[in-house]
Amino acid sequence: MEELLERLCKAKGVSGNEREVAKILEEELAPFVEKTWKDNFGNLIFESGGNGPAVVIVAHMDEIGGMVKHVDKEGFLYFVDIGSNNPQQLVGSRVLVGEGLPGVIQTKKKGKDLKVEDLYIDAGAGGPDELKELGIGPGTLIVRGPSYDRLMGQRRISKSFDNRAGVCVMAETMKRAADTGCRLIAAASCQEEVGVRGAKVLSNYIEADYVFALDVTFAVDTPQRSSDRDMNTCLGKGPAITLKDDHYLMRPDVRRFVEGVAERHGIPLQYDISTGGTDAGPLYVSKGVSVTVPILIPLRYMHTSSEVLDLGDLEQCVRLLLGLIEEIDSHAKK
Amino acid sequence: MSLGELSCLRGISGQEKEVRSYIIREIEGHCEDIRTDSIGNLYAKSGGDSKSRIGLFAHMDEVGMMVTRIDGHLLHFDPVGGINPVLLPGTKVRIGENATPGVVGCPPKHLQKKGEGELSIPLEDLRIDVGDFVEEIEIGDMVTFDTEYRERSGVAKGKAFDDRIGCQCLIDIIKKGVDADCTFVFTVQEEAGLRGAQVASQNVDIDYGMACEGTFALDQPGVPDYDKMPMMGHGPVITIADRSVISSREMVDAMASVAGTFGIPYQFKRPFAGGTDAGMVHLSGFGVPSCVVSNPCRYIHSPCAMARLEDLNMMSKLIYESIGRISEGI
Repeated sequence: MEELLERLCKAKGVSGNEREVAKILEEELAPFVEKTWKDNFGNLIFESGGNGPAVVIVAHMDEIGGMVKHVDKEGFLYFVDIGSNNPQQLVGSRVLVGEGLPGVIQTKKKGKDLKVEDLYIDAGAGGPDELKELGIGPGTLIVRGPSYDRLMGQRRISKSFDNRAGVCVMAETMKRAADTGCRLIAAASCQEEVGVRGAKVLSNYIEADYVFALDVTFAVDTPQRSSDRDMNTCLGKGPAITLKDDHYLMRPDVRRFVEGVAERHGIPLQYDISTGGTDAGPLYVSKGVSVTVPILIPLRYMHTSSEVLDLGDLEQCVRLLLGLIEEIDSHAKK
Repeated sequence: MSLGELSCLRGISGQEKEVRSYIIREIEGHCEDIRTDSIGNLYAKSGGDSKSRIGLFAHMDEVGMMVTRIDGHLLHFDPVGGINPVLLPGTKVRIGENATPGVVGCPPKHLQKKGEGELSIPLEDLRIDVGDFVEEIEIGDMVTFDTEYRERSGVAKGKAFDDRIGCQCLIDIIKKGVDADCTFVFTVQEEAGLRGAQVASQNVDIDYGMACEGTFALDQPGVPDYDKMPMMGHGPVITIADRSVISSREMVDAMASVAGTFGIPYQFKRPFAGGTDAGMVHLSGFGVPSCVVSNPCRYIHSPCAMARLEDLNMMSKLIYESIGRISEGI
């Protein structure tokens, strides 16, 4: 699983241009499923399994990034963000501009209250013409520079664990659950970071008894927390289910169902109560979906170039999904 | 060209009847199957078979205000759509079905305290004064800017260029006649949150969507040179991404290439500013690749905007030729 995770994380996939991620995923997963197709929005769908209850696993392929707004006379690039970036965290981080021109983000303003407008990218260009020759100008996408490293134990550091970790868990689950009686559908969605847009398109046509939406959530089990209440989740203590975010509320019966499965399979479970939203939001209010469960992987330093997670959580997340699918299947057969 | 007539019609979000009737009169005989839906969107089919079907969208509504309370000769109001309140004091307006004249009141300079400019009046304290005409007014009446349309040396000034200029562009294209399978959609309530388009995008069967807009031009005082993007007189504006949609790259590339072939100037819009009907269209069905083409206008969402008619000509031409390219499959 880790080999795939690393490849997915290093791929470029800013919202609106997820093709590189989709290609890796399709090559990896197509041999394990019956049917692979793409909708007109770019969402990539895999179908396999039997004819039992329809179970959809969704994970977004896109990541935050930026777009070049203008290039100044000296060849420095100014940009706007795609998705939510923290300007303070961006200073000093490396990026790739366009197809792969490396650069570094720096600030022209000192002090704390940085805005994205205060930042620029130095890609070593002598002027705008040199960049133009490479096809770089207003509209060119910017992505965090690829990096993937092994920290101590099971901890890993990389850009875009949000949400390649979810994509990876989805792929692994599809592989291991290939012989289930459930109708198993994996949907790798686009443009989550700019307003769960891919999931909105999915919600137009997906019909499912269960939707499991995979994403990451804040783990603040670090000196950054001012009290333990800020923690939300911890690394290494298993997947978290969302009880509430800005676009989702978990039904008590759904919560009991997931907790029961986790308990019977010996999987640790955490709870996420946070702001923002995930792909679960539009799906759980859609006409064709009965039950929606957001399942999240704890992540430190989200939306930076150096996000940190624990591989153990990914494995437990796969096990939870397999447990859920198994129980849905066996319940249907009774 | 009747941008003058079209932009002087009055229609805030939800009250687009006048505009709709006018457009129907204009396009009748030039297209088939003109119909409306229950929210007020107007649909027209044109052209023959083609590999891909294209939907073209322009919204009929304009920003304005609505009367919320009548207090003697003074009317309380709420803005409909995004209006900068500093523009309002002293502005002439027309109210309700009779287009009753009024003015947004403003204390005279004599009464202002030292250091207190008129800009300090909060929106909720502004009133529309209708003098003796108060009998004609009802709560819920629309308030539109009372602006004369003028044209000189190819520059037009008037109200509601966002998005009557888009409507005019689509009317021109309908009259010219297209070869491809096109559905023209004139939507309602865009300024209130893309609501007409949310309905319309469920009612059309299309492969590509294109929103046709009047957008801001930033070649105006107070904007640094590097931010003057787009500018008036530099051709139609193609959106790469705004707050509501990331345009289909294939469509953007196709339009840029069409522009090159026909020698049409074009410019890109400042990324991630504003939102349009394409925001709804691209999320409909199995997803509909969409983009936005706009006319650069200075001072939109204000009592008086400016536009260059040559930009509008170029926009019509770019869209017309792009329809040909995109409908053949990209």
